[in-house]
Amino acid sequence: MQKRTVKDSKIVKRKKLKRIFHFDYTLVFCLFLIIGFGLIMIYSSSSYTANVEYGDPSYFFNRQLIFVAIGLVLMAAGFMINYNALMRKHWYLLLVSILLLFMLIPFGRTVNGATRWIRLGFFNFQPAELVKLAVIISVVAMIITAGRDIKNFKTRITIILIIGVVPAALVFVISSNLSSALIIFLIVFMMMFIVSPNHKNYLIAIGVAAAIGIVAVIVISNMPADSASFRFNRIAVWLHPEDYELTTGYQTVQSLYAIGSGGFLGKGLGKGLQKLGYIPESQNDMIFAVICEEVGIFGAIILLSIFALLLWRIYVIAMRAPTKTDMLLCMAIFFHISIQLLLNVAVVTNFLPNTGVTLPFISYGGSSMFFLLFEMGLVLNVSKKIDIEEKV
Amino acid sequence: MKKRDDYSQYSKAMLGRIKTKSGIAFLIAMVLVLVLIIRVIFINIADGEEYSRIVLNHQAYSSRTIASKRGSILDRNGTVLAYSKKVYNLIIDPYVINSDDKKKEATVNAVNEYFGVDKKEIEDVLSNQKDSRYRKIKTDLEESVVNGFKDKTKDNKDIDGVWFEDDYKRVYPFGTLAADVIGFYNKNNGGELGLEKKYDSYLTGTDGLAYTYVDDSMERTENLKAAVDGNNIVTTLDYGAQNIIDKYIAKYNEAKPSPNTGAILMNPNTGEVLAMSSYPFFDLNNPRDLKAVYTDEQIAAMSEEEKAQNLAKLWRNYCVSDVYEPGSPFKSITVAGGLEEGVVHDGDQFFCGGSLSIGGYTINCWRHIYGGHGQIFLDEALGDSCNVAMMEIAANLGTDNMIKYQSLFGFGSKTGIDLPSEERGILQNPKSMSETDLATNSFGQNFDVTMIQMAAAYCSLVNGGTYYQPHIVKSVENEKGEKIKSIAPVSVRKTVTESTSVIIRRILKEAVEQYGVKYVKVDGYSVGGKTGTAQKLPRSDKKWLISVAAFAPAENPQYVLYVVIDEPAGTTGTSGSGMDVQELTHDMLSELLPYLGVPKDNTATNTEKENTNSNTEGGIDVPEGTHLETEASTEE
Repeated sequence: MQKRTVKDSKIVKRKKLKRIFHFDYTLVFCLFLIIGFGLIMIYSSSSYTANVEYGDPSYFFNRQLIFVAIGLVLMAAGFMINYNALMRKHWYLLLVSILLLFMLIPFGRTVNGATRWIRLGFFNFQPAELVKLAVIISVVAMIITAGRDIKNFKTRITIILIIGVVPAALVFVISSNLSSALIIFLIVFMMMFIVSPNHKNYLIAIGVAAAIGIVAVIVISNMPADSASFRFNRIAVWLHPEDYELTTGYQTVQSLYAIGSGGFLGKGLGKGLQKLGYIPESQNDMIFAVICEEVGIFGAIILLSIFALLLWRIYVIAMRAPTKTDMLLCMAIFFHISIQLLLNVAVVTNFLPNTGVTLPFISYGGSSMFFLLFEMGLVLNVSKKIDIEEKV
Repeated sequence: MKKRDDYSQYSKAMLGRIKTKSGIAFLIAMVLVLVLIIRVIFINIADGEEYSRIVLNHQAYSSRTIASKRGSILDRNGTVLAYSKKVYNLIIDPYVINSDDKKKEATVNAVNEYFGVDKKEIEDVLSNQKDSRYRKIKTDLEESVVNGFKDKTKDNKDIDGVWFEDDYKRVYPFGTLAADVIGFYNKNNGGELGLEKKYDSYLTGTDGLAYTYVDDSMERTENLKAAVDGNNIVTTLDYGAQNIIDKYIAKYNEAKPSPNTGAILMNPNTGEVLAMSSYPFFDLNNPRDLKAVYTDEQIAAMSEEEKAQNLAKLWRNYCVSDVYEPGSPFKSITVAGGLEEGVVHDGDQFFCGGSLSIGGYTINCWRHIYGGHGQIFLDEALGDSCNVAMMEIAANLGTDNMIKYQSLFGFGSKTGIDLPSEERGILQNPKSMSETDLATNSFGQNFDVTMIQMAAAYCSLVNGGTYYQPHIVKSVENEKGEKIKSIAPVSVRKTVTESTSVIIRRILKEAVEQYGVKYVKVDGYSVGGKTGTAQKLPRSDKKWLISVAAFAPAENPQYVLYVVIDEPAGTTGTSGSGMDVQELTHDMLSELLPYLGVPKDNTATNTEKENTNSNTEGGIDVPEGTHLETEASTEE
């Protein structure tokens, strides 16, 4: 090692500065666009309910603003930290997240029949969101650890079972959160898909799953309505939401009404009618329906296009990532955001049964916003390394 | 310092595979996004319209109706007899006002100061109907008043939750004019009388709807479905003629109040009613006010039930809803029937000795005090109203023919005039009818008719024998003035032949020029007419109903005027006199004929007015006859 000159130290400083401000601006631009639009839609979709329930039309909006602010701090943290250190300790992270999940049993807050939140004074913390982050970190760490062994089918099945199936099952059983369980499983499944040397097994798995799904749907749709349990009932509602309009199909039907009545250009921001007490919790899972009603097909296409652009940037960063860890981390986050986005829109448009999944960066809620923004921080963290590493 | 390369663990081929598969995953995600976009578009195309409607229906809970404008009622020349005027209702929104104490104070004060609404009253509404979004506080505000309030309060941001709803108020510009015919309108019950009731479905528009919802800035925003205004009805009424008739009836009753005075002016060639007046009058703009007829003390003494009864009496259209015995004007129909059946001929002679004994009764002619008419021709028998001659004609006609001609001329059944609550009157039963009944029927006693029946019968008698259904509405127009329905004259049947009609016209012209109806005569005009003094039941009361049926020009009648005064002042207990009704008819005609443009076709100067036979027809005691069961009239 040599002693550095003053000049050298200046160059290093400049390099450091360059490093901090060198990240993917397109990604940040898309992200802020989505968050900004999300805040507007939160105000629009929740002000009526907020005024009725809290006497303050901007109740949800103000809270979401604080969540976004905290989320941006977490994003900055994700941007700065050395996630390799985190990855080495991924077991602890996973353990902590699952412990928090178990804390739901004594301390959980039950909303709409599902216990998903731990009361933390200012807001309610949703452990499932932390589990998602832990699984993302863990799956990347385990692939790296496995090294060349990843080629073995056994190794991959083990990873799917330990990181995918077990946390997903726990999330599903403890917090009755089917959508988060599904997302966790699908992230791990898709990661195994991209690292596996062949794709036959995955195509077979998808085929079998689809076949089972179709058979189940046919069986359930032919079952008498009263004998169906809650979960099956949910599928019956999905197939014929109009028949359950006044009971379990209410939310789905109301969101379809909202989408259908929007037309091409929508009714105009703030002019939606369905949020006025018709779509339950219109600022949460069903916010996309309000978006369709107020800004129409046109607005929905623009929003989904910005999401597509965001996903494309994450994909590009992954492909250019300097290390395999960076690449896999970005891809895991890519899967998280894309799966959640697709599930949410598919549910709102009644493509899939109602599972209660939030629209990333837009739906109201702290936990989801925090961890998603932290993940975006990690992606930006990777992006800042790209060009500089390549040039040096 | 060598950096550890993660990639070193893998072969290039494996890395390439991971990148390829990531690309595939990315493409799948993009395809799925596209599928979802298509799904959103599909929902809009497939069900957009239905869903939009359902969503709008959701807002019904906060919808309100937009008042439609009720159609106007016009006379034949377009004069507006009834219209709806735009007014405003003061609406407050307690939910908004209660949301802020400062707002509440400012708003309550402003409404109190400007509209004089009691503060306590507003505060009661605000506390009892806390969450309401709609409370009507004051109605029928003029536009200028509303604009005044808006100007005054536009700078005060604290005044909130106050707005004005459009509404309409029914206005009758001429108040009492043709009140019973036009009728009035009540917001709760719709049209309550006359044309307002009969043509309610045409006049009523379709109310619009305003869906109100709250937008993101908590502002009230509305989606409108416009109201459709009601149709206008164009009547056959002539404002000028109606005004003249009303004026003279009012003038007469001012001097000599009568329980009822009615007059109908018709066009005999179409059945159109040009004027219809029924005293006592009332003000359509204030129909529940009894002050026009009763003194304050009388009103104070009435129970609610009596008040309602008296109002019903006041609102009754005497011309269509009351029945009475017509008396001598009916003699023209007896003669016409006799001529048609050949039991009497033009130029026949009669002998009147002052009375005739029939069925154990001695029935007098009004001239019995002068020893009767003596030997007279048919002209004088009808023109000077000889009962004896009529009884002879009726005896030759027989009961069946009497009923036949009564029925042909529309007696005993509704004329079908387009007014509510028409009565049908009642005739004798031809099977049980006695010769006394037949005899008294011949001079218009012992059967009941309505005024409109008499007027319509006279129209057909003088127009050549065509019976037209009397009607009062010519056409219905939409709010743009386009005709949507025309009501043409309805010729119902033939009553008598043209030659009979010619003879009757000639005799009735002579009656005005030289016999008993000469006080009706108007200088320069040829007028035909017949007067009558009918005795009312019970006969012992010696109460009279006097009437004139007149028409002009006598040769080619364009107008028929029928006037009735029920129990004219000063006649009860006497033998009765038709003088008042002749003078009233004369007064009306002398103004109506020039107004209506009837040609002056009578050059003979009237020098006979103070002529010999100056006695006008008086009443006689009429045998009571067979009791008539009045059927309860069913309202249409």
